Amino acid sequence: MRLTNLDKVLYPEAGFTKAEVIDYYARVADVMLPHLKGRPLTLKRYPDGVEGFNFYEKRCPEHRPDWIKTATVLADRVGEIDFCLCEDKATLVWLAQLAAIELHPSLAKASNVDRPTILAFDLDPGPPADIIDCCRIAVRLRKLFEDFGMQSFPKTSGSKGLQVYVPLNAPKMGYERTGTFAHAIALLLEKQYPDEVVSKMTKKLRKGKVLVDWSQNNRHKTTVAVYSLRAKQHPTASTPIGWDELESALRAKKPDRLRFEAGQVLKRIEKHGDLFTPVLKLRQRLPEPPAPA
Amino acid sequence: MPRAIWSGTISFGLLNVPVKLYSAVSKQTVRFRELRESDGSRVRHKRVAEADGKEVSYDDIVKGYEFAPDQYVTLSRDELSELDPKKTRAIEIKDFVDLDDIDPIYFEHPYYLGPDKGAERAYALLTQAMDDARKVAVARFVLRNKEHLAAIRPMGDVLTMATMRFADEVTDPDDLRSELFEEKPGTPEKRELDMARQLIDSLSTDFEADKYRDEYRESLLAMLERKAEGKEVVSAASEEPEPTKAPDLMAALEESLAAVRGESSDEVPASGSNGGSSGGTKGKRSSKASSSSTKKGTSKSGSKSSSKATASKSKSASKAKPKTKSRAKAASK
Repeated sequence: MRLTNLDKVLYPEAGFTKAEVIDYYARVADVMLPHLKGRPLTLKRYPDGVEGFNFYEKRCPEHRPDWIKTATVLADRVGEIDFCLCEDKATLVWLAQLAAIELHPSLAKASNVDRPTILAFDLDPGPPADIIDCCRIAVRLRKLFEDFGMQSFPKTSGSKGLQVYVPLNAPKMGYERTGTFAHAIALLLEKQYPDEVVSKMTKKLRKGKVLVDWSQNNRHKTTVAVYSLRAKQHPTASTPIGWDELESALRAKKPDRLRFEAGQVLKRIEKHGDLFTPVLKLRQRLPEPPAPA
Repeated sequence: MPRAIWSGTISFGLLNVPVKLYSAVSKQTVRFRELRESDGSRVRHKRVAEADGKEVSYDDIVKGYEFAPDQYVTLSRDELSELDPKKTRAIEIKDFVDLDDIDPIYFEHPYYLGPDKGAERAYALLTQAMDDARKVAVARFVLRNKEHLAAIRPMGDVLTMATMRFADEVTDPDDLRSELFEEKPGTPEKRELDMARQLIDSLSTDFEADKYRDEYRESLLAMLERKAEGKEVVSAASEEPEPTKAPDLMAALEESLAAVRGESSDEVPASGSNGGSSGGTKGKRSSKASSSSTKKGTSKSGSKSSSKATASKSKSASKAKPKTKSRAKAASK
């Protein structure tokens, strides 16, 4: 593998170079790879940096080295797609070399693309709402799931909002269930906090509220990977956080405490390890639906 | 309670087991009557002679076999009955075979066999012996003047009997080949085969018969019920394919949460390792939620209807669709 254009600045405002992107991914690999293992990966590539032309790429690039693993997944309209699988550090570095700054894995594994291992919520604030408003909703979301005897885990999106993951890792699971369940939870929050929450995507409804985006729980959707960089002005990353951190940021109303750039993420990993480890293994059951149809 | 439709005796070797025959299926098709549209009068069919339009009574009807266009040989009822198979009450076991050897294409109508009075022991003996041998009995018997081939096999401690088609009743697919395949199917590539295999594997599951339902019948019955109640039926049968059930589920979740919080608000399940509870919001939330709460018991059995009520109050409930759906369910019982 040849690394090229290492001096190229991918984040102009921050002066963050391609070499630094590659270095970040190489160093985050140990904690990040388990979360990518076996999952069809969608790449978001920024060949000219975060301010330039970018594109989503589901099909693993044709001109890939022969040691890149792929998974063939049957997609609805387009037939089959060979997705990249990212299971080792070399692949992660190769993806960084392609300027695939953002990595978006599926919530399911390629071995069973219809069985999500995670229920995910994307809490997206509509300005002037911000990540602090997301924290407030996240705490309520956590409480809801606690009442069902389930644990949930928050991460920053690396952009404006938060994501809450509810690990399932259950043998019989399908998007139909996770999608409906997540939708019901979003509706419930919207009903209980109509001034703070919306469950519909419509942008203009979102103003000053938090969109509880449940629709990620769908076979055709992906969610940004934990530890993935985001293509923002600065090299922020989707970072797992503890509920205690989240609550203290909420109490102090300090959104900046929940914004982590590449260097900070690496330091946090040294200190905390991978806060998202339970998402990989924790087996949880969704409450049974009222009456089977 | 279905009644026995026939009784006879299974016989093989020295063993005779008097049995009664019950149909194993109850046809669930919805049946219609013909009515005159203007006044709803029942419509009756009459047999009339083509020659003069006069009604022909049942007794005056003979059966004709059309051996050439418009040329018939006729057989009277007496002549026909001479050919009737002997009125025998025997279910004569001819062979024992492996179930796998009988292609399902041969099976016709399923029945249960029950022991006649006093035959319980012999019946149990035969059932268990067949179960132990893992064999199916191929038998002949006469039902309603027709000779039948049948497969008898144990299902638990009950014997089932399926009538079977005779070999010459089943069309050989070779005779249909030119119809089945307009063009010669090519040989699939290995890559395609692998993918198809993967797809099959991913859809592979255990067969659960009650997973599949006759949805047409259910919605038809639902529509009929609504009409019977005098409600306008516009397009109840043409629901959107998959109306979201999320609002229903939401209301049900709300209820069960209220129940959880109301009954054991101090018994919150363990949270993540990174601690920090949301004590402040908890009290507020539970009081809010329990205002619409019911007891746990109620929410369990009655969750369907009560959740519907809640859902219809909320703006996001999707019109009357869930209603139609649950109606269909009720009607099918």
